[in-house]
Amino acid sequence: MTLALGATLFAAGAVGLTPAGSGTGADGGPADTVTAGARSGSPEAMRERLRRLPEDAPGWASLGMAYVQQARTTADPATYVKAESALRTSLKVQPADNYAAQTGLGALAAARHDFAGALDWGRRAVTTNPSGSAAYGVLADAHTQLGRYEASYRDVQRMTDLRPDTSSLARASYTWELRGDVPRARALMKRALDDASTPGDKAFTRAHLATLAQESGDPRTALREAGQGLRTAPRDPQLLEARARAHGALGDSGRAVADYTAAVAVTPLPQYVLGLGELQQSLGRADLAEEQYEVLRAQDRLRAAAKAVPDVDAILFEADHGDPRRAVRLGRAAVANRPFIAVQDAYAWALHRAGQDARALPYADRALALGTRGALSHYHRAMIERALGDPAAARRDLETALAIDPHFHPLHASAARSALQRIDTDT
Amino acid sequence: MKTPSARPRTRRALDHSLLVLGAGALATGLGALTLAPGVSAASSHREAPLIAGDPRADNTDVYAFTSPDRSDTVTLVANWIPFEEPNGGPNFYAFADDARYHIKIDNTGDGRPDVTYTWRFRNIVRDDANQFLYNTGPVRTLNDPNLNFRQVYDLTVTDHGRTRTLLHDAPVAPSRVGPASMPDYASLRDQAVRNAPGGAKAFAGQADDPFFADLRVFDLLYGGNLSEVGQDTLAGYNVNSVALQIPKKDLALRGNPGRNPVVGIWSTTERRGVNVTDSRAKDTDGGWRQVSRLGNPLVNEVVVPLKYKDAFNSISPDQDRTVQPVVDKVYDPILPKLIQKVYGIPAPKTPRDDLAEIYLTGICKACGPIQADLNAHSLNKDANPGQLVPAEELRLNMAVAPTAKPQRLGVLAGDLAGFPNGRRLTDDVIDISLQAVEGAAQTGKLVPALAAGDKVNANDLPFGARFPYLALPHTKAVNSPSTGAKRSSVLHPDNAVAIGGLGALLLGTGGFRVWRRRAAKV
Repeated sequence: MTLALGATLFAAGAVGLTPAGSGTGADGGPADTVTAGARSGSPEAMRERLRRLPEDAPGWASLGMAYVQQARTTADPATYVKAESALRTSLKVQPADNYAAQTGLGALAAARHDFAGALDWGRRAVTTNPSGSAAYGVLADAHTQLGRYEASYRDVQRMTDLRPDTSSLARASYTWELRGDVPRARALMKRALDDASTPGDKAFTRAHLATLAQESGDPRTALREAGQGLRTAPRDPQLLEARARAHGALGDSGRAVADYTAAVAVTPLPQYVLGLGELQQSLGRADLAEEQYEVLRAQDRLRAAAKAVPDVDAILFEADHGDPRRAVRLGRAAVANRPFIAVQDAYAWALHRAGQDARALPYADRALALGTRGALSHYHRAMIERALGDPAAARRDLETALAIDPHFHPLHASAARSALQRIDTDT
Repeated sequence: MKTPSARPRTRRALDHSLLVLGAGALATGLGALTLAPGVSAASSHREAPLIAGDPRADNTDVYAFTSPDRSDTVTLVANWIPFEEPNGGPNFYAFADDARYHIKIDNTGDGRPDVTYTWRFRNIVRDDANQFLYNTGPVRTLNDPNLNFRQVYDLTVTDHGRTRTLLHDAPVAPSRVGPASMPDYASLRDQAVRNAPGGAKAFAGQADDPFFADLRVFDLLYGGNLSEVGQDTLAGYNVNSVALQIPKKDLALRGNPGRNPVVGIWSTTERRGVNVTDSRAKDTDGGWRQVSRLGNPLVNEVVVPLKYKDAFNSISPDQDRTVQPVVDKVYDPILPKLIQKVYGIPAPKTPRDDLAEIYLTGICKACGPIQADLNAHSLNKDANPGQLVPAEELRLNMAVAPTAKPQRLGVLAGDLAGFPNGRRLTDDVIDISLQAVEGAAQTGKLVPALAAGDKVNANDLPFGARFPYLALPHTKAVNSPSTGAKRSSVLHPDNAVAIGGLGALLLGTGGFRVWRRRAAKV
């Protein structure tokens, strides 16, 4: 067991054991591992109030939503349980017209990847209160993940019309990012940052500004954005990941490993663990990579035991570092549950890795159908096209991938360059 | 709380996972154990924030009164960003530079603004390399090179569709970050008071929050009582204020405050919208969106039902009468019924025409049961009776002379220069509102059982004798023992972030409106 993994264990324990709401302790204590997002909510103060006023339905709804928001950054599943309990209590105290609880339950369903359920709660909430912007956010998120993009744009339009604030502007940014309009996405995310008033929202918007730069091949800007965010939220995992990727692209692998390791230590989300593992692998440290992959395998066993639907990272990991046929099975389940472009992309890649390229191509096309500037998706499709004997199409997609971001992936970016060379040599 | 069904399933999953995992992987499994099931379901799906508090856009209070030292003028004050912790370290508090702040005046009584004052702020960062520093040394002037971050504003007035600039690049009084950085803050405040054309004065910047109340009064709405009151929840905190002293003739219908002394006042904030659906549109934003509105104090607590608060915030007063459930609640409010349940004080008979006068029409003998001709638009001699509509505005009769010794209970104490005839900084609007919903304005008698109200009768700092009258910002951290104030547990500022975050979270639900207006905000 290495230091990195040890740190993971320790931090994981700390996060898991820290009582919700105590993320306000002095710096350096266990509570310090809780991210900026968690710190910003104070469920403790709300619970105190609810002890005095147990009939306060909006108070219960607020507490539930606070837990959902907290779980967004800490990914502690126990928080979802607390959220559900508070939200159900709110509905019990006030069954009618309780749009706050309905919105909270929608957000909770989405966080648990029950997007049909989220849609249902969101619709109830906007029926109760057609002027509440948050409920349109629930609808937008669900429609997006269910692949109903036009509906999601309309939801976000309504949400921003009601209230152009950080939460709606961040979603407006995302709609343009999905459609490949990066300048508009950047401008709106900048506005979302300017309007952000909690440390969690600031960290979120900074991290996405960094990612927008990173995924447009501008790691210097990404480094600056992530660095600025980390000045006020030094342990925010999404900012640490963003800075790790920027360091990686700029060739500073030592700092990249350090930041990834720190992100994993705060919250071992699969995407951080996979990022660290693949970075280690790209540096020729197979044993260190394998340690991260072992964590991913353990996480996936737990997921399977809980009968949860697999997510993109699990599919990609299985396709690239495990059993491609199993990746196909995971992908099939995921795409049925959630036909979002990232899932289409992962399924396409799983099919490719399993040698089913003809079946893979339509999914790869769908992953890019919105015009998203996604280097990895272009690379995935290129490799499918090459396997199908279409070097011209493969070349186009490889060139596009590398033009968008020459450092799009620690392993695949160099594979893309080699593939391009081989196509050039062959033709 | 009921144990939700998800728990056993998770528990089973965890137990099962221990069996699944080999002994060699046990340590890894323990790490994953605390987090993994949720973790693997939480990745790769972008979860943007859902409840973004916006304290820089949400109005907290509006004041309007005849200036005591310049009685030919009216002073208007509007506040944003409550619960600003003094000495916030790296925190300082700025107006939004992508919002429009308005104070609107209706002098015809049609619910539409006739005169609109608009503030727009601009940030100036002196040293980009040090943009995280508010100041780099002692600040003695608003232009001091040591003041790294500054704001300036343009103040315009729109009157009958024409917009004129009253002030351009006027300086904002900075956040008071402490005696070492700002050894003479009073001088900085003075420098931020500007003369505007036509005898007006303007101020924008940080000030002590003039609102005083024990917000736990509103526990009444949620099954509580008044047993825990007596602490000024706002004591020690600062706000960002805009203030304007303006000749009465500039506000009055036909410029004639003698014939037309009544004006309705409210404040709004607008944020720039967004175009999401049309990729061909050149206009990347979608116009301006009103996100907040405030006229009468506590209207959101006393009158507007929860599910209509968002709608109420987005509309203009001339549309108020179209939201029938809100109008219904003015005539049949919930608060007196709750008080009856808790204290056995009989709720006044409905429909509450007296409250409709206070909130929707203004007070006049012909308007309803309150026997006074005080501040209804119908008292304006040039008002067109056919235009008058019920609309929620803070109404001020500018002809009422200022009182030498203002009574905190205003009109209820026979002091006609106070709330609900406009609102002075010293008016105890919590106690007045409590008494008013119990019918005191109609009967002319205070309800003795509620005479103590929230037991907070005055601001923690005295107000000034000249414009902008607001007390200087506090400098002692609220939770510092030297203030001697014991904070209520709800608001205990273990850290400034918690307060902010709490507000942010409550905000989105549109829930506890006091919080939205006062605590929330972030």
